[in-house]
Amino acid sequence: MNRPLALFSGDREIPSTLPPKSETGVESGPGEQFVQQLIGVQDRLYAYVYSLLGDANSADDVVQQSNVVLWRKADDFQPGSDFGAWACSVAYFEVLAWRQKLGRDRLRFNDQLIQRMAAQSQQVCSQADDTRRALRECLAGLTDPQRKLMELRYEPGMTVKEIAQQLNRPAGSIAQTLYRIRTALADCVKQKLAAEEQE
Amino acid sequence: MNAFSPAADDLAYILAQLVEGDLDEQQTTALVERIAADEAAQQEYLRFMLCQAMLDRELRRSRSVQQLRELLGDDAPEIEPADGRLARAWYWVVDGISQPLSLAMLVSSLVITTILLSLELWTIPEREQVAAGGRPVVVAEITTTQQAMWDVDSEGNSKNLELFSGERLVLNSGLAEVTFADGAVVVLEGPCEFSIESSSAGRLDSGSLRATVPPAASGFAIASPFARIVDLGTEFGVQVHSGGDVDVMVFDGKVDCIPLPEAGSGAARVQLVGGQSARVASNGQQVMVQENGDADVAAAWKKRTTIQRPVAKSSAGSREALAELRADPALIALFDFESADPSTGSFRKARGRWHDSVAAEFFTAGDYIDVSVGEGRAWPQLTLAAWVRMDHFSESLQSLMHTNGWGDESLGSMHWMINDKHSMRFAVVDQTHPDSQISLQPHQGRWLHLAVVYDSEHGTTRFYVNGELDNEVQVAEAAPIRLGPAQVGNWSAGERPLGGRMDELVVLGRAMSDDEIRKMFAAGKP
Repeated sequence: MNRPLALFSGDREIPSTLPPKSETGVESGPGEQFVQQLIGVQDRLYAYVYSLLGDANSADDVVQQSNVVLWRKADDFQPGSDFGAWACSVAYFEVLAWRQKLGRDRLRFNDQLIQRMAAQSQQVCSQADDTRRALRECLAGLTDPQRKLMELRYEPGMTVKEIAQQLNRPAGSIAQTLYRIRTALADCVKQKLAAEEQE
Repeated sequence: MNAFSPAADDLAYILAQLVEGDLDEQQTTALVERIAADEAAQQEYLRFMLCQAMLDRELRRSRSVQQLRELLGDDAPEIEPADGRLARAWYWVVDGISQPLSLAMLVSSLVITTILLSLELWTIPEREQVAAGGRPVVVAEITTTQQAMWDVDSEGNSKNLELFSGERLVLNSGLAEVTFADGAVVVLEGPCEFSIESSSAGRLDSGSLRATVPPAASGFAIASPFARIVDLGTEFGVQVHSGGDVDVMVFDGKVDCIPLPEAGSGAARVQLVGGQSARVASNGQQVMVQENGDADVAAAWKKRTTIQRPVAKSSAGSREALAELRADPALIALFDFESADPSTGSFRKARGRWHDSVAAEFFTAGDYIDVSVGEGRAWPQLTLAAWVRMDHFSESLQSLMHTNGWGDESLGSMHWMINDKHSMRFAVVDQTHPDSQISLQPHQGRWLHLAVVYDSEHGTTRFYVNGELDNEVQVAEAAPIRLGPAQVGNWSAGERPLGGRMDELVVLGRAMSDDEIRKMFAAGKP
């Protein structure tokens, strides 16, 4: 069986080699328009994958891999169609492959539920740009300590326990505060988007 | 109720706990059940997660940035934002609208990123090695040892010991082989101190090791005090000297040797190929590369770290048993995946039960093997047997072997599978679908010998696990089996991907006895 090894997943085999180089040695890849679309869809793609896996690290890896697959499948994209929907459909298979490969994810949606959630998530995540803009406004509305706490939480490798030690506060208290800030931000975004819809 | 005591069923609050990774398994299950049952909860969940995802994008530093910074060095495009905040390079590239980066630079960055990603130069972070509820996940195993003397802290280590992320091994003398879940094999040479980082990475603090990394595990990394060695599909050795100097020797293939900042600002990343070696000095000097490493040193290193194992005896026994089977006039098919065979499909060739053997790995949801065996006649008796390593169990059915005729309800079509209770099932069209009894889940990640013997003349289906009869089920009006086109590891009419590896699939047109099954297991037992 002399077939090339398949890398990662997808609905079909992905060659294990990079796109071929031209004779000049320069990578021959998709055009500028494709790159712009791929760049523009990153928020939506990340949100989509994140909603299906429920875990930032896993989502990060799956989005990175999805980008590779999208890059390689650039020729499959039909110009004029919804790039975001196409990207999400490619990412969906990467999500399934990730679950298959690791045998676990944080949420453990069953196969039927993840299929249902994927369809709904495509719609919800099409609002990624509006959500991010609203979130920026909501972040600006946090108090200084709240904002600094969130920024600290997102420092690489920073855990709740370490924050608690740095601030000399109980870890439980820090966790509770983080929960409250997250829910407050989600509520703020929801209200802002609802208000915009009414305008 | 004050702000610190939200209602227990406050979905947003529960979701915030989920995002923080603070839900235990029971709470996570309850959340998933709630989402599954309530459409409004589904919408709230998705909107909440969208918001959290955007929060990530605003505040988090992406790993890919660090990769770019670390790996491109001086070639990296300028990625610091103007306000001096911590940059997220990939995302700043992505957020190019607000950055003065040229499109050419974006394209260039994307190509570079694509290359880096293709080479799998990242490792699964430690956080992911912990399942829901904080339960650690096995990421490696001590597969064999030779005269291993462990330090006090590591006493009790032995062959088949499962290892978790963060575990530290202190080997005073002898050899110990550690096999990572991704397929890389590391032989530790005592005295040495080694830690498990993830399913694809380890850390050597002192002593030496030899790593053998199959293509499927490319990207496997060994960290050391002053350098990180990232495999690009190869065999290499690493030695950490008492003063902190790190030696890397590539026996075959290619590695990236990435000096860490502690190694001094002058040190640059180097790529080494077979025969080359390098020393990353702990005194801040550049990496010193030796173009043509000492072949004798390399040979001695390999010899020193080669564990004498009873492979010959074991695999020889298996091969003898297979040779006997091949001579059995009732044999319909035997797939050992070692050499060219008539099957086609999408799957990986991965390591089998022995170091020198090959198995079929069903790696993605779409993997399968098409076979066509035993067509054109009825089989009143049938034995199916295979060595199977289940790496993933799910609530879905997983195909071992499915004939394609089931969709047409062709009489005699059969499906052999792992069922949703994680035991075996052997189903024949228009008949009851008997199951084996024991759950295979506790044996996840280990090779098991599975067999089913169907006898339509006696109306029985008998299941065997590791050579022992597990269950016998009487089947009313049992029909002879019809084979023909079939899929192994999936089902052509639906998604039943097998999450694991398979080897030595035997399709035999007669009923094997208990003793024969037991002998088949004993001959092939790893």
